[in-house]
Amino acid sequence: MYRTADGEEIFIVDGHVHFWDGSPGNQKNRYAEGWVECFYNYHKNLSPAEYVWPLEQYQKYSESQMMKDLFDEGYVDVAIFQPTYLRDFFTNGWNTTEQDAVIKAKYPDKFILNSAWDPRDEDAGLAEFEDKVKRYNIKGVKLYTAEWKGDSRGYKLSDPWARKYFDKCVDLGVTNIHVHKGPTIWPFNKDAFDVGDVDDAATMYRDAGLNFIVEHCGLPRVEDFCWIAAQEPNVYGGLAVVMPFIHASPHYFAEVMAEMLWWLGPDRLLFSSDYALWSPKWIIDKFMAFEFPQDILDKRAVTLTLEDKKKILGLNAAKLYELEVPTKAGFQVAVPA
Amino acid sequence: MIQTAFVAVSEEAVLAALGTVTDPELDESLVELGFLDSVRIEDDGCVEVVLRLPTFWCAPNFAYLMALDARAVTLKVPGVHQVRVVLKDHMYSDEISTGISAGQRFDEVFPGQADGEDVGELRALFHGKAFGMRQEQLARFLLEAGLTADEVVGLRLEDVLDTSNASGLRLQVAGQARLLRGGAPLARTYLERRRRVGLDEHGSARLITNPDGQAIAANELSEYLQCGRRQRISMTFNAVMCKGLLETRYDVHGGR
Repeated sequence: MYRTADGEEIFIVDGHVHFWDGSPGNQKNRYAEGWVECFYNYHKNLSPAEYVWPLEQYQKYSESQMMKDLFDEGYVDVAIFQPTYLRDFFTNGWNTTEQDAVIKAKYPDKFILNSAWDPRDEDAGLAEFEDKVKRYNIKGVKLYTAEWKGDSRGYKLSDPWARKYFDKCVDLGVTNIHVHKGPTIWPFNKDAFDVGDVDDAATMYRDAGLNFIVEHCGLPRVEDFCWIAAQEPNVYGGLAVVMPFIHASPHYFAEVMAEMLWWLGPDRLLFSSDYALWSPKWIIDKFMAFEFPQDILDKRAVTLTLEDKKKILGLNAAKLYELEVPTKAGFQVAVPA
Repeated sequence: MIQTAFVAVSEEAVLAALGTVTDPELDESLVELGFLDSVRIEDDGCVEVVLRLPTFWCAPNFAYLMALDARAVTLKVPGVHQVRVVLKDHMYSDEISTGISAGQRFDEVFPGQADGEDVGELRALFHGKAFGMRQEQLARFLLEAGLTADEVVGLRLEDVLDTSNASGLRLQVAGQARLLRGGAPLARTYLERRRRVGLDEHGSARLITNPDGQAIAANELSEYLQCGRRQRISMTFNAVMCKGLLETRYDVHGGR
């Protein structure tokens, strides 16, 4: 819970957190090393200096560290675990549903456990997915279309097998589809950051009740993402990666936020720290203090009120996941949209 | 019999040539982005160009295009006989370095990984985005300098009188020559991007058009520019991220 200077309480849902293992013992190959190095540079590049960890700590952090950073210091009430498997790079996976489930079992009210699927696993994966959904009461998945698998360098949401998995999500009531784009590279000769396949899937499954949360707001293709999101009411923007720019390049952050608010409005944006890429405390502190500079407002007539900030920081995610929001936080029980 | 006289390769000329190569996704010079790691000129006219990128995972198609262009422009420098391009610290370092230096096509470098056509379409797509972004910058500059929307959409190429003047852009507006302070670099860059997408170069052609060369109605200009604005936001945002990651990765400072 974040408390404003006036004593008002703001309910915080961190829409995207990890509990990963990138330690050398879990690295299979040079791709694993490249993966950790890349993540670490994101962390170092965009975090305030006092929040930068040593590489060793970043590769594998403790449960107590995470609990402190998210809940004791980071204002978070509920955090959503988004798995990323990467079994081709890491022996036990980078961050799997099973690993997250251990933590979830210890702190059932603090975490939402999301799972994942991969259309390239075909029938076997479908059965395994159903099993996981029932075992863990899963309401959302994180899809990582850039994942390498054998010789394959990625997949698209428009692949025929992906459709079977979406159908399964509908059957099982897994309504929140978080899609991460990039660093996708496949097919090699196309713009693989293209979000067109999200558009197809969102249109096709709108009436069936699936919501598509595009992580990182389609960066680096904001222009395409905004266009899709404006037309598809079941498309949301996940603000992981976008938010930390509030420190490193506040003007660009303002420019992107203005665009997001213009096209999606305050009801379809979700705060995420992408922990441990970044830590929620400083992002939330800066976001609460944030106001649009005049030159941005001159080009885009947008507003970002305290009520809007509350939605982005927690209430929108609470609706998607049907979370109970304490009434003191200025909202009653969240109802599904 | 070798008839050609020996020409010493100038490092300055090589760097100037490489300075014209842009990252397709960011539309900035790879030298200014810091992507040029080093250049080594050997006595026999062999040049080694070492490139580096912000991450291990940077898209191989863009990396390939930059390496390809770097080789092509360096080969044109007087005295250069052979160019070896090395891409370091990348998931496809070996494939790209070996393939480009041997002059291989994209589908030869990455057999079985392309879908249909070559990378030409990808390049054209990003040339179009760069065109939109640079046009938005120029058009907004013109509007801020006091031109009306009617005047902006009515401009012809021949109305651009001089873009090389350091004090500003010389432009003919409604029959009168005007000097617009600070606009020359914007106009130069835009005209270069406009040439790249292959629009009509005649003096009577319109300056500000959609990517197909179609005129824009004055009352639609504002809405039209929003599209270019989104492309600019993407490109600028990505450039900030890429420069930052490169600085972090190689511990370099400045350039931003």
